[in-house]
Amino acid sequence: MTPDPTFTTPSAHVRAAREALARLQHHLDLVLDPMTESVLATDLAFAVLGLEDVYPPYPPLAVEPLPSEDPAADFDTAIRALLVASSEATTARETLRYAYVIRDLRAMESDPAFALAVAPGGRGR
Amino acid sequence: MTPWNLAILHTANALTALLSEPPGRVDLDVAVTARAAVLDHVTTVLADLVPRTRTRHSRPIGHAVPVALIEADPLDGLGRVLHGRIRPLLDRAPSELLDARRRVDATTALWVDAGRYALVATRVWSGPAVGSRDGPRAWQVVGEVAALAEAVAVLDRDLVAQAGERQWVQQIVESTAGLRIAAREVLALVGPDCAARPAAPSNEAAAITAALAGRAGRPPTLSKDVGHLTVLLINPRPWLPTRSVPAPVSGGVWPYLQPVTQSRWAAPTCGRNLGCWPAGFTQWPPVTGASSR
Repeated sequence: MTPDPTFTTPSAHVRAAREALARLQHHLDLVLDPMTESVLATDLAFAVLGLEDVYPPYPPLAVEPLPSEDPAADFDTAIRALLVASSEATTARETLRYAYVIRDLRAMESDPAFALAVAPGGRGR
Repeated sequence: MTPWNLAILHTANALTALLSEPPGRVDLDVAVTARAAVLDHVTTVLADLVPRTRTRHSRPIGHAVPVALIEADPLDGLGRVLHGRIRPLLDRAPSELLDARRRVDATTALWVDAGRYALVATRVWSGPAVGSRDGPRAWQVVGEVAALAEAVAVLDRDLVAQAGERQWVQQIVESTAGLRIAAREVLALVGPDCAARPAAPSNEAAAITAALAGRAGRPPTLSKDVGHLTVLLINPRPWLPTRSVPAPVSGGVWPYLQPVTQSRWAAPTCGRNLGCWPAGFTQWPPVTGASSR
Protein backbone atom coordinates (compact mmCIF):
# COMPACT_ATOMS: atom_id res chain seq x y z
CA MET A 1 0.00 0.00 0.00
CA THR A 2 1.51 3.31 -1.04
CA PRO A 3 1.56 5.89 1.73
CA ASP A 4 0.08 9.30 1.07
CA PRO A 5 2.71 11.76 -0.16
CA THR A 6 3.77 14.43 2.27
CA PHE A 7 4.84 17.87 1.14
CA THR A 8 6.47 20.93 2.58
CA THR A 9 4.10 23.85 2.29
CA PRO A 10 6.01 26.70 0.66
CA SER A 11 5.57 30.21 1.93
CA ALA A 12 3.75 32.70 -0.28
CA HIS A 13 7.05 34.19 -1.44
CA VAL A 14 8.54 30.84 -2.31
CA ARG A 15 5.36 29.97 -4.18
CA ALA A 16 5.62 33.22 -6.13
CA ALA A 17 9.26 32.51 -6.96
CA ARG A 18 8.50 28.96 -8.09
CA GLU A 19 5.72 30.12 -10.37
CA ALA A 20 7.79 32.94 -11.85
CA LEU A 21 10.71 30.61 -12.50
CA ALA A 22 8.40 28.02 -14.06
CA ARG A 23 7.04 30.63 -16.47
CA LEU A 24 10.58 31.73 -17.24
CA GLN A 25 11.65 28.16 -17.90
CA HIS A 26 8.75 27.72 -20.29
CA HIS A 27 9.69 30.91 -22.10
CA LEU A 28 13.33 29.89 -22.45
CA ASP A 29 12.31 26.48 -23.73
CA LEU A 30 10.46 28.23 -26.54
CA VAL A 31 12.98 30.88 -27.54
CA LEU A 32 16.38 29.27 -27.02
CA ASP A 33 18.12 27.33 -29.70
CA PRO A 34 18.64 23.91 -28.13
CA MET A 35 21.83 23.32 -30.09
CA THR A 36 23.68 26.43 -29.04
CA GLU A 37 22.03 28.13 -26.10
CA SER A 38 20.62 25.34 -23.98
CA VAL A 39 23.25 26.13 -21.34
CA LEU A 40 20.99 28.98 -20.22
CA ALA A 41 18.08 26.61 -19.69
CA THR A 42 20.42 24.28 -17.83
CA ASP A 43 21.63 27.08 -15.57
CA LEU A 44 18.06 27.99 -14.78
CA ALA A 45 17.23 24.36 -14.13
CA PHE A 46 20.11 24.15 -11.63
CA ALA A 47 18.81 27.23 -9.85
CA VAL A 48 15.33 25.72 -9.70
CA LEU A 49 16.75 22.46 -8.38
CA GLY A 50 18.46 24.40 -5.59
CA LEU A 51 15.14 25.98 -4.70
CA GLU A 52 13.37 22.63 -4.70
CA ASP A 53 15.98 20.98 -2.48
CA VAL A 54 13.75 20.50 0.54
CA TYR A 55 12.47 17.49 2.39
CA PRO A 56 9.62 16.66 2.21
CA PRO A 57 9.45 18.22 -1.26
CA TYR A 58 7.29 21.10 -2.26
CA PRO A 59 4.00 20.05 -3.87
CA PRO A 60 3.69 20.23 -7.65
CA LEU A 61 2.66 23.60 -9.00
CA ALA A 62 -1.09 24.03 -8.87
CA VAL A 63 -1.46 25.04 -12.50
CA GLU A 64 0.49 24.31 -15.61
CA PRO A 65 2.67 27.38 -16.19
CA LEU A 66 2.13 29.34 -19.36
CA PRO A 67 5.02 30.95 -21.22
CA SER A 68 6.05 34.18 -19.61
CA GLU A 69 4.47 37.33 -20.94
CA ASP A 70 7.24 39.45 -19.48
CA PRO A 71 10.29 37.27 -18.76
CA ALA A 72 12.38 40.08 -17.34
CA ALA A 73 9.65 40.96 -14.86
CA ASP A 74 9.28 37.31 -13.87
CA PHE A 75 13.02 37.13 -13.32
CA ASP A 76 12.95 40.17 -11.06
CA THR A 77 9.88 38.84 -9.25
CA ALA A 78 11.65 35.58 -8.52
CA ILE A 79 14.72 37.31 -7.12
CA ARG A 80 12.68 39.71 -5.00
CA ALA A 81 10.50 36.91 -3.66
CA LEU A 82 13.57 34.84 -2.81
CA LEU A 83 15.16 37.76 -1.01
CA VAL A 84 12.04 38.13 1.13
CA ALA A 85 11.85 34.37 1.71
CA SER A 86 15.51 34.44 2.71
CA SER A 87 14.89 37.20 5.23
CA GLU A 88 11.96 35.25 6.69
CA ALA A 89 13.85 31.97 7.04
CA THR A 90 14.47 30.77 10.57
CA THR A 91 17.64 28.78 10.04
CA ALA A 92 20.98 29.66 8.54
CA ARG A 93 20.80 26.65 6.28
CA GLU A 94 17.49 27.69 4.77
CA THR A 95 18.58 31.31 4.41
CA LEU A 96 21.69 30.28 2.54
CA ARG A 97 19.75 27.88 0.33
CA TYR A 98 17.81 30.82 -1.06
CA ALA A 99 21.03 32.79 -1.36
CA TYR A 100 22.58 30.19 -3.66
CA VAL A 101 19.50 30.28 -5.89
CA ILE A 102 19.71 34.05 -6.09
CA ARG A 103 23.42 33.85 -6.83
CA ASP A 104 22.79 31.37 -9.64
CA LEU A 105 20.14 33.64 -11.10
CA ARG A 106 22.41 36.66 -10.85
CA ALA A 107 25.12 34.74 -12.67
CA MET A 108 22.65 34.13 -15.50
CA GLU A 109 21.71 37.79 -15.51
CA SER A 110 25.22 38.75 -16.52
CA ASP A 111 25.07 36.56 -19.62
CA PRO A 112 24.34 38.67 -22.74
CA ALA A 113 22.45 35.76 -24.31
CA PHE A 114 20.11 35.68 -21.35
CA ALA A 115 19.49 39.40 -21.53
CA LEU A 116 18.59 38.94 -25.18
CA ALA A 117 16.30 36.00 -24.44
CA VAL A 118 14.27 37.83 -21.78
CA ALA A 119 14.17 41.20 -23.52
CA PRO A 120 10.63 42.52 -24.24
CA GLY A 121 9.72 41.57 -27.76
CA GLY A 122 12.76 39.37 -27.92
CA ARG A 123 13.37 36.37 -30.08
CA GLY A 124 10.54 33.97 -30.72
CA ARG A 125 7.84 36.32 -29.56
CA MET B 1 14.82 30.53 19.03
CA THR B 2 17.90 30.52 21.25
CA PRO B 3 20.37 33.43 21.29
CA TRP B 4 22.84 31.19 19.53
CA ASN B 5 20.39 30.50 16.70
CA LEU B 6 19.72 34.21 16.45
CA ALA B 7 23.41 35.07 16.19
CA ILE B 8 23.91 32.37 13.57
CA LEU B 9 20.92 33.63 11.62
CA HIS B 10 22.34 37.15 11.60
CA THR B 11 25.65 35.77 10.36
CA ALA B 12 23.83 33.85 7.65
CA ASN B 13 21.82 36.92 6.66
CA ALA B 14 25.00 38.90 6.16
CA LEU B 15 26.52 36.10 4.11
CA THR B 16 23.27 35.82 2.14
CA ALA B 17 23.48 39.50 1.24
CA LEU B 18 27.07 38.98 0.14
CA LEU B 19 26.07 35.99 -1.97
CA SER B 20 23.06 37.70 -3.49
CA GLU B 21 24.66 40.90 -4.70
CA PRO B 22 27.41 41.31 -7.27
CA PRO B 23 30.74 41.61 -5.44
CA GLY B 24 31.62 45.21 -4.72
CA ARG B 25 34.73 46.89 -3.45
CA VAL B 26 35.78 45.35 -0.15
CA ASP B 27 38.40 45.95 2.53
CA LEU B 28 40.24 42.65 2.34
CA ASP B 29 41.58 42.93 5.88
CA VAL B 30 38.03 43.08 7.18
CA ALA B 31 36.76 40.31 4.91
CA VAL B 32 39.58 37.95 5.83
CA THR B 33 39.15 38.69 9.54
CA ALA B 34 35.40 38.07 9.34
CA ARG B 35 36.02 34.89 7.38
CA ALA B 36 38.38 33.71 10.10
CA ALA B 37 35.80 34.51 12.78
CA VAL B 38 33.14 32.44 11.03
CA LEU B 39 35.46 29.50 10.49
CA ASP B 40 36.70 29.74 14.10
CA HIS B 41 33.12 29.40 15.25
CA VAL B 42 32.48 26.44 12.99
CA THR B 43 35.60 24.76 14.35
CA THR B 44 34.60 25.40 17.95
CA VAL B 45 31.10 24.03 17.53
CA LEU B 46 32.30 21.02 15.62
CA ALA B 47 34.94 20.26 18.25
CA ASP B 48 32.34 20.44 21.02
CA LEU B 49 29.80 18.21 19.31
CA VAL B 50 32.21 15.81 17.65
CA PRO B 51 35.24 15.52 19.94
CA ARG B 52 37.25 13.46 17.48
CA THR B 53 37.51 16.50 15.21
CA ARG B 54 39.73 18.11 17.85
CA THR B 55 42.57 15.87 16.80
CA ARG B 56 45.07 17.82 14.76
CA HIS B 57 46.48 16.04 11.74
CA SER B 58 49.62 17.46 10.24
CA ARG B 59 49.31 18.28 6.58
CA PRO B 60 51.97 19.74 4.31
CA ILE B 61 51.23 23.27 3.23
CA GLY B 62 49.44 23.29 -0.08
CA HIS B 63 48.16 19.73 0.28
CA ALA B 64 44.41 19.40 0.41
CA VAL B 65 42.57 16.83 2.47
CA PRO B 66 41.88 13.86 0.18
CA VAL B 67 38.33 13.75 -1.12
CA ALA B 68 38.08 10.06 -0.32
CA LEU B 69 38.83 10.82 3.31
CA ILE B 70 36.20 13.54 3.40
CA GLU B 71 33.67 11.20 1.85
CA ALA B 72 34.49 8.38 4.24
CA ASP B 73 34.03 10.57 7.31
CA PRO B 74 32.67 14.02 6.44
CA LEU B 75 32.78 15.35 10.00
CA ASP B 76 36.40 14.37 10.47
CA GLY B 77 37.15 15.65 6.97
CA LEU B 78 35.63 19.04 7.73
CA GLY B 79 37.62 19.16 10.97
CA ARG B 80 40.84 18.42 9.10
CA VAL B 81 40.15 21.08 6.50
CA LEU B 82 39.43 23.64 9.20
CA HIS B 83 42.51 22.76 11.23
CA GLY B 84 44.68 23.48 8.22
CA ARG B 85 43.52 27.07 7.89
CA ILE B 86 45.98 29.92 8.11
CA ARG B 87 45.06 32.75 10.42
CA PRO B 88 45.46 36.23 8.98
CA LEU B 89 48.32 38.26 10.46
CA LEU B 90 47.29 41.87 10.10
CA ASP B 91 48.42 45.21 11.44
CA ARG B 92 45.01 46.01 12.83
CA ALA B 93 43.23 44.11 15.60
CA PRO B 94 40.03 42.15 14.86
CA SER B 95 38.13 44.35 17.32
CA GLU B 96 39.10 47.36 15.27
CA LEU B 97 38.39 45.76 11.91
CA LEU B 98 34.99 44.40 12.94
CA ASP B 99 33.90 47.57 14.69
CA ALA B 100 30.35 48.34 13.57
CA ARG B 101 30.87 52.07 14.07
CA ARG B 102 33.49 52.34 11.36
CA ARG B 103 32.44 53.95 8.11
CA VAL B 104 32.99 51.42 5.39
CA ASP B 105 31.54 50.61 2.00
CA ALA B 106 28.47 48.39 1.66
CA THR B 107 30.20 45.08 0.93
CA THR B 108 32.71 45.56 3.73
CA ALA B 109 29.87 46.41 6.11
CA LEU B 110 28.27 43.04 5.33
CA TRP B 111 31.54 41.29 6.12
CA VAL B 112 31.74 43.26 9.37
CA ASP B 113 28.25 42.02 10.27
CA ALA B 114 29.08 38.43 9.43
CA GLY B 115 32.27 38.48 11.47
CA ARG B 116 30.80 40.32 14.43
CA TYR B 117 27.80 38.01 14.74
CA ALA B 118 30.07 35.00 14.42
CA LEU B 119 32.06 36.33 17.38
CA VAL B 120 28.80 36.81 19.28
CA ALA B 121 27.76 33.27 18.40
CA THR B 122 31.07 31.95 19.73
CA ARG B 123 30.55 33.90 22.93
CA VAL B 124 26.99 32.59 23.33
CA TRP B 125 28.06 29.05 22.49
CA SER B 126 30.37 28.93 25.49
CA GLY B 127 27.50 29.91 27.80
CA PRO B 128 24.34 28.18 28.98
CA ALA B 129 22.02 29.89 26.50
CA VAL B 130 22.65 27.46 23.68
CA GLY B 131 19.82 25.13 24.53
CA SER B 132 19.82 21.38 24.25
CA ARG B 133 22.73 19.68 22.56
CA ASP B 134 21.16 16.26 22.34
CA GLY B 135 20.47 14.06 19.36
CA PRO B 136 18.53 15.81 16.60
CA ARG B 137 19.41 19.21 18.03
CA ALA B 138 23.10 18.36 17.69
CA TRP B 139 22.51 17.38 14.10
CA GLN B 140 20.67 20.60 13.46
CA VAL B 141 23.56 22.61 14.92
CA VAL B 142 26.09 20.70 12.84
CA GLY B 143 23.99 21.40 9.75
CA GLU B 144 23.85 25.09 10.56
CA VAL B 145 27.59 25.54 10.97
CA ALA B 146 28.31 23.41 7.91
CA ALA B 147 26.02 25.70 5.91
CA LEU B 148 28.04 28.69 7.14
CA ALA B 149 31.29 26.98 6.15
CA GLU B 150 29.92 26.33 2.69
CA ALA B 151 28.87 29.96 2.29
CA VAL B 152 32.36 31.11 3.24
CA ALA B 153 33.84 28.70 0.71
CA VAL B 154 31.56 30.05 -2.02
CA LEU B 155 32.55 33.62 -1.20
CA ASP B 156 36.24 32.75 -1.31
CA ARG B 157 36.14 33.12 -5.06
CA ASP B 158 35.10 36.75 -4.74
CA LEU B 159 37.89 37.43 -2.26
CA VAL B 160 40.53 35.91 -4.49
CA ALA B 161 39.18 37.84 -7.46
CA GLN B 162 39.64 41.08 -5.54
CA ALA B 163 42.99 40.16 -4.05
CA GLY B 164 44.99 41.07 -7.14
CA GLU B 165 48.66 41.07 -6.25
CA ARG B 166 48.06 40.30 -2.60
CA GLN B 167 49.21 36.71 -2.51
CA TRP B 168 48.52 36.28 1.19
CA VAL B 169 44.77 36.31 0.55
CA GLN B 170 45.15 33.48 -1.89
CA GLN B 171 47.30 31.56 0.59
CA ILE B 172 44.65 31.95 3.28
CA VAL B 173 41.96 30.71 0.92
CA GLU B 174 44.09 27.85 -0.34
CA SER B 175 44.78 26.68 3.18
CA THR B 176 41.16 25.56 3.37
CA ALA B 177 41.04 23.84 0.01
CA GLY B 178 38.19 21.35 -0.03
CA LEU B 179 36.10 23.34 2.43
CA ARG B 180 33.03 23.39 0.23
CA ILE B 181 33.20 19.69 -0.56
CA ALA B 182 33.61 18.86 3.13
CA ALA B 183 30.72 21.14 4.09
CA ARG B 184 28.50 19.67 1.39
CA GLU B 185 29.34 16.16 2.56
CA VAL B 186 28.46 17.08 6.13
CA LEU B 187 25.17 18.59 4.97
CA ALA B 188 24.43 15.41 3.04
CA LEU B 189 25.22 13.40 6.14
CA VAL B 190 22.98 15.52 8.30
CA GLY B 191 20.24 15.18 5.73
CA PRO B 192 17.38 17.51 4.98
CA ASP B 193 15.48 16.38 8.05
CA CYS B 194 17.78 16.51 11.07
CA ALA B 195 15.22 14.81 13.27
CA ALA B 196 15.45 11.69 11.16
CA ARG B 197 18.99 10.94 12.33
CA PRO B 198 19.47 8.22 14.90
CA ALA B 199 20.16 9.71 18.29
CA ALA B 200 21.73 8.46 21.48
CA PRO B 201 19.93 9.69 24.62
CA SER B 202 22.68 11.80 26.09
CA ASN B 203 25.81 11.72 23.98
CA GLU B 204 25.35 13.56 20.73
CA ALA B 205 28.84 12.69 19.58
CA ALA B 206 27.94 9.04 19.90
CA ALA B 207 24.79 9.74 17.95
CA ILE B 208 26.77 11.25 15.14
CA THR B 209 29.26 8.42 15.20
CA ALA B 210 26.42 5.90 15.15
CA ALA B 211 24.87 7.65 12.21
CA LEU B 212 28.09 7.27 10.27
CA ALA B 213 27.67 3.52 10.44
CA GLY B 214 24.34 3.76 8.66
CA ARG B 215 25.55 5.61 5.61
CA ALA B 216 25.52 2.65 3.26
CA GLY B 217 22.32 3.77 1.62
CA ARG B 218 23.51 7.24 0.75
CA PRO B 219 23.63 8.18 -2.89
CA PRO B 220 27.02 8.10 -4.59
CA THR B 221 29.03 11.19 -3.90
CA LEU B 222 31.97 12.91 -5.45
CA SER B 223 34.77 10.61 -4.46
CA LYS B 224 32.77 7.60 -5.54
CA ASP B 225 32.28 9.20 -8.92
CA VAL B 226 36.00 9.93 -9.16
CA GLY B 227 36.77 6.39 -8.10
CA HIS B 228 34.40 5.03 -10.72
CA LEU B 229 36.04 7.10 -13.45
CA THR B 230 39.45 5.90 -12.31
CA VAL B 231 38.30 2.30 -12.58
CA LEU B 232 37.03 2.99 -16.07
CA LEU B 233 40.38 4.42 -17.08
CA ILE B 234 42.38 1.57 -15.59
CA ASN B 235 40.10 -1.17 -16.76
CA PRO B 236 38.32 -0.25 -19.97
CA ARG B 237 36.26 -3.42 -20.20
CA PRO B 238 33.02 -1.51 -20.12
CA TRP B 239 34.19 0.35 -23.20
CA LEU B 240 34.86 -2.75 -25.23
CA PRO B 241 32.62 -3.05 -28.28
CA THR B 242 29.70 -5.32 -27.61
CA ARG B 243 26.87 -6.66 -29.68
CA SER B 244 24.70 -3.77 -28.60
CA VAL B 245 27.03 -1.13 -30.05
CA PRO B 246 26.45 -0.33 -33.72
CA ALA B 247 29.35 -1.37 -35.92
CA PRO B 248 30.30 2.12 -37.13
CA VAL B 249 30.57 3.33 -33.55
CA SER B 250 32.70 0.46 -32.34
CA GLY B 251 34.83 0.64 -35.45
CA GLY B 252 35.34 4.33 -34.89
CA VAL B 253 36.31 4.02 -31.26
CA TRP B 254 38.34 0.86 -31.38
CA PRO B 255 41.48 2.10 -33.19
CA TYR B 256 41.92 4.82 -30.60
CA LEU B 257 41.21 2.57 -27.67
CA GLN B 258 43.41 -0.29 -28.77
CA PRO B 259 46.88 1.14 -28.06
CA VAL B 260 45.78 2.21 -24.61
CA THR B 261 44.33 -1.13 -23.68
CA GLN B 262 47.21 -3.09 -25.12
CA SER B 263 49.84 -1.14 -23.29
CA ARG B 264 47.84 -1.29 -20.11
CA TRP B 265 47.23 -5.00 -20.25
CA ALA B 266 50.77 -5.72 -21.27
CA ALA B 267 51.97 -4.33 -17.98
CA PRO B 268 53.34 -7.09 -15.75
CA THR B 269 51.22 -6.09 -12.78
CA CYS B 270 47.96 -6.37 -14.58
CA GLY B 271 46.99 -9.76 -15.91
CA ARG B 272 44.19 -12.22 -15.71
CA ASN B 273 44.41 -12.41 -11.96
CA LEU B 274 43.24 -8.82 -11.66
CA GLY B 275 40.29 -9.44 -13.87
CA CYS B 276 41.38 -7.06 -16.58
CA TRP B 277 41.47 -9.73 -19.28
CA PRO B 278 38.01 -10.49 -20.58
CA ALA B 279 37.04 -14.01 -19.67
CA GLY B 280 37.27 -16.47 -22.54
CA PHE B 281 39.61 -14.39 -24.69
CA THR B 282 42.83 -16.05 -25.69
CA GLN B 283 44.19 -13.51 -28.11
CA TRP B 284 44.35 -9.81 -28.45
CA PRO B 285 42.37 -7.99 -29.68
CA PRO B 286 39.39 -10.07 -28.63
CA VAL B 287 37.53 -11.28 -31.67
CA THR B 288 34.39 -12.36 -29.91
CA GLY B 289 31.75 -9.69 -29.94
CA ALA B 290 33.55 -7.23 -32.17
CA SER B 291 33.84 -9.36 -35.28
CA SER B 292 30.99 -11.79 -34.90
CA ARG B 293 28.53 -9.08 -35.73
